[in-house]
Amino acid sequence: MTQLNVNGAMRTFEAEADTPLLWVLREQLGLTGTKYGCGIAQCGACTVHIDGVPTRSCVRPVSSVSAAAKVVTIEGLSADGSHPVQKAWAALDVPQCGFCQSGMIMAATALLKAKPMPTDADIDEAMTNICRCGTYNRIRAAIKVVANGGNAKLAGLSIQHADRSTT
Amino acid sequence: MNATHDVKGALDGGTSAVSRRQFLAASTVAGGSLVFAFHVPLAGEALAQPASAEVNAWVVVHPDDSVVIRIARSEMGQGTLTGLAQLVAEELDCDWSKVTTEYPTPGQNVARNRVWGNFGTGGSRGIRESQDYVRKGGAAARTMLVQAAADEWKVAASECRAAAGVITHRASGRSTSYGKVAAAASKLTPPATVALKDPKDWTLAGKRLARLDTVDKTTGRQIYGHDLKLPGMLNAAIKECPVFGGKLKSFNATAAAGRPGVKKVLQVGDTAVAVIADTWWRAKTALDAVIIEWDEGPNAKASSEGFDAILKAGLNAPQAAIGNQNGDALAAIAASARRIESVYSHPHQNHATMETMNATARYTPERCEVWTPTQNGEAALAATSEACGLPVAKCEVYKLHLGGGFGRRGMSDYVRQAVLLAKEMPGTPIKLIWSREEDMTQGRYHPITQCKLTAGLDGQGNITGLHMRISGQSILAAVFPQNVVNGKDPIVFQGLNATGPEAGIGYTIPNLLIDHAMRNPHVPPGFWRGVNLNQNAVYLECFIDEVAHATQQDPLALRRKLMANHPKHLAVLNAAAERGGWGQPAPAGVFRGLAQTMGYGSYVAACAEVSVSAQGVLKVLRIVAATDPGYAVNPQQIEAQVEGSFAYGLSAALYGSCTVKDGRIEQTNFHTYPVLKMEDMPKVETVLVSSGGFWGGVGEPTIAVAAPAVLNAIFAATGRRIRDLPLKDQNLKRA
Amino acid sequence: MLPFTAAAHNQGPGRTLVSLERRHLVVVAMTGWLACARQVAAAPLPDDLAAAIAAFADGMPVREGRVSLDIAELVDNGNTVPVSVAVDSPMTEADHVTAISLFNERNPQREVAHFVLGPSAGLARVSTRMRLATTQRVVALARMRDGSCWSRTVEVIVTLAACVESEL
Repeated sequence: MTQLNVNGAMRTFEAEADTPLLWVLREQLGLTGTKYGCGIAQCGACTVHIDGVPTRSCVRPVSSVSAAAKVVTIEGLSADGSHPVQKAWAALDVPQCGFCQSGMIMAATALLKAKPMPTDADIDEAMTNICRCGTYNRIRAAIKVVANGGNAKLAGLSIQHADRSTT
Repeated sequence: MNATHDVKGALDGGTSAVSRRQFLAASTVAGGSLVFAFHVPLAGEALAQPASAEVNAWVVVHPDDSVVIRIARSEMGQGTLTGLAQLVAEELDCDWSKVTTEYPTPGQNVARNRVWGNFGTGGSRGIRESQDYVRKGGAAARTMLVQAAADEWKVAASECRAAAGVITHRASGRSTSYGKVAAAASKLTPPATVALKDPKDWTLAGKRLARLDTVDKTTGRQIYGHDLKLPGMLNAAIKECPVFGGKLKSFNATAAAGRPGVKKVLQVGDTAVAVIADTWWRAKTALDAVIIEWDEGPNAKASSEGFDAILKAGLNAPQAAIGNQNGDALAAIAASARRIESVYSHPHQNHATMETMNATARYTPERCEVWTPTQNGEAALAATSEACGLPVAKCEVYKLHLGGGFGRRGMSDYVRQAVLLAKEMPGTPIKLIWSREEDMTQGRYHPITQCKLTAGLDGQGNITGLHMRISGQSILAAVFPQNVVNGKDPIVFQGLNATGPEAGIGYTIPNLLIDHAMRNPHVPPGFWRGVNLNQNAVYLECFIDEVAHATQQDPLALRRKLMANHPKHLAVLNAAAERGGWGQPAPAGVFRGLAQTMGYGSYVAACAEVSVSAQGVLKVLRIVAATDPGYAVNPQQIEAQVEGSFAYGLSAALYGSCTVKDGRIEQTNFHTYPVLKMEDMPKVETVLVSSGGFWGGVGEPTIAVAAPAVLNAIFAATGRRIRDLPLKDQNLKRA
Repeated sequence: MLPFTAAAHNQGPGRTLVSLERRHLVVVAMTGWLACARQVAAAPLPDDLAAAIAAFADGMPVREGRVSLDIAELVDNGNTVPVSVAVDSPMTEADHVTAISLFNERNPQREVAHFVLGPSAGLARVSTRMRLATTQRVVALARMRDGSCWSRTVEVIVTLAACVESEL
């Protein structure tokens, strides 16, 4: 049996050593928020944080992740969607089909931690995840909203929410 | 409400926390309003909760005034779910903050005489085809709720009014809410006719409302087919013969069968091998260890070079099906003072949805159930019945949220596979997931075509005749051959038809001939977002641009001359050109291109701005889109669709190409089938030119103007006319 | 319910049948009454379909009954839909089915297939595959030796790819 520290809890599981972290998270640990998109680290849908570093978990053998490392998945960002990046994503209605967005949010969160005021070039460089629905422009806008303290009105989308707020 | 998402191990022997109860994923939005995401229905449960009242098929009202709106079409990111709910809620006059949605199942639709109509979602039809009857459904429900209140108060319904879920009787000041009268309303006879609101009076429809299904996609709580967990479920990976038309010859499971977690290694149909295991990773890696021998069949030597030769020959073939003609184009061209002729091509492309194809099936001799993301729930149900041999009444399909569709999930091939697997282990749910490699190589591809355009010109630069000969693949011939009549596939001519509300050409040409020589490679085609509008817009819009440049006319001025009889096409072109700054000087190194077309009932145009470096590196900087979809149900989602469809179309134009060698598709994953990423994405501005009076689609039309606008801008930038896609294979250095 | 095995190959001139794999019959009854949930309520038939049926019946009244029509109620692709017809008849010299005909409501042409039978057929059972352009009713008719005509009508839902709905 092996152990991993995932979202602040020690988890125990059984898997072959070369099982990618992605599949241990999804199958042995039941955390399906992290997605399989390609299996060869091309798309970023599998992005998690390992000690804060954004990592494509589909090519990371679970045996290479020590029990001391802190793994954070999309489920671990907040209990209720209240992480500033999640809130910006919701305020700007970023997701379309949504399948890439767990990975996008994990990548964006790591970017903003490293560079709280990222430039467009910083965003281009860090956000190499694939979105087939083409939500890139709203993602960029949402990242800038977070960088600017969460003021969603900056994006100028004028989206009316059910609670009657407009962002 | 807390999410009931199971975060324990999925493999604890069938006693997982997700047992046979409703699996409801919900979350709260800031401000306390409750937004339900999709629930994942399990076997045997009924729609909605017992205390709720189904006022009519479209509207269920709970005692707490929350409203469940039934959605027949499939949400795949395009926002149709929210848009349809807005239309129903508008007529229903309920409290929007209390609205949730649910999908009736196709089995229920069949059993209830198709009360929800067609489930198929494609062709940008989700809203425009169903808006009339869903609005009437909302209006009828409102009428019945008000009548129930009036009956209770013993007053005339005409003295009562409804707003935001509250019914008031003005004269007496009495009021009640929908939740209190829903049960009584559900017993009333539905009204024979209802009046719909004038769109100018809309308060919900037409507004920039937030989507209903956003929050769970930011937290990982949204369940997709990949994520489904059912008690006792096993996982399956599959490989189909990589050469289309080939068969399975033999397989050696020795290395695979003994691997941990593997339950079965088996043949599926005539053409595939699968492994069923406790986890998908174990199934997939075991499958990789199976030694498979294919009988590659008659197409083993097919190649892209071969297709090219066959299609090229079609460009000059004597026989072709005519899609649009007036006058005598060939004679006019022959008699003209000057001729221009160009040949264009468009490759096969993959949908490449982010979520690969998948379906979960559970079979017993009494019942077969499938859980799958699908764009056509009824087709999936029919496929389930056909694959398992049980009558439709003993089958059911539960629609799950799609991780992208783009047309690929209108096919039910993966559903049939899952059902065949489930039949091998009766009683056990089997979740079949395709690897990305399987998804890339077992696609239903954008059809491959070439086009020869020949224009005759007079001394003043006017077109005297135009012949557009399309040579290449017909989707219908492969998928719905019954709709190829007299050798003609009508949808080949999307955007080029003479007339009609769906996809008509925007130009008046005195002598016109548009025809199609059908040439079908063995690669299976399918409906790919935009379908044939994509290449038709490239062919025509780039060629019109060629005519303009060859006759020293401004591309906008020439188009305007040809579009005098097509005011709606012209209006969007002018709107895009004006916002794009056409005619004004562009910044240094920035060049513009235009394109317009009509498809899926909507008129669209684009003005693109690009730069091309001395080394031939392209940067698409900005695209202005103008779209007239008639009515606009949710403008902020229309903007999202325009951006998204540009990303999809631009991705295809820049990178998208599936080539064939030795009968098989060469591109197996995103490393060899690259797609657009953040750094490539231009700024997009959308001009919504809603002229009202008709309902046009939104999910697709704008995709078709992205590539030609960019190609025309590239010509302006470099003097080099690109006629073959994708751009990554072309030389863009200054000519 | 009788299991349905390979279709009888009738002796009619120039008619070939495609045999089916095993399918349920919707219902088969030994007498005139057929209990089937899919018996379609009597909405009026389009004129050309009514005319085609009248031509088959050649002046005789057409009654519902004795005929069972086995076709899926929901079809993924209308290109080639298996259909089989069986008639409750002893198929003796004195009492047999002389013809079975299939009609449709919304294809380009009304008549689908026509089978000529005689006592040597042994069983009044035919099967084929038909095209269905769209959701519609299918009507099976049987004429008996005594000239009487029996029919059965079933509605089939054909799912259309949404991408092509309007073009067809």
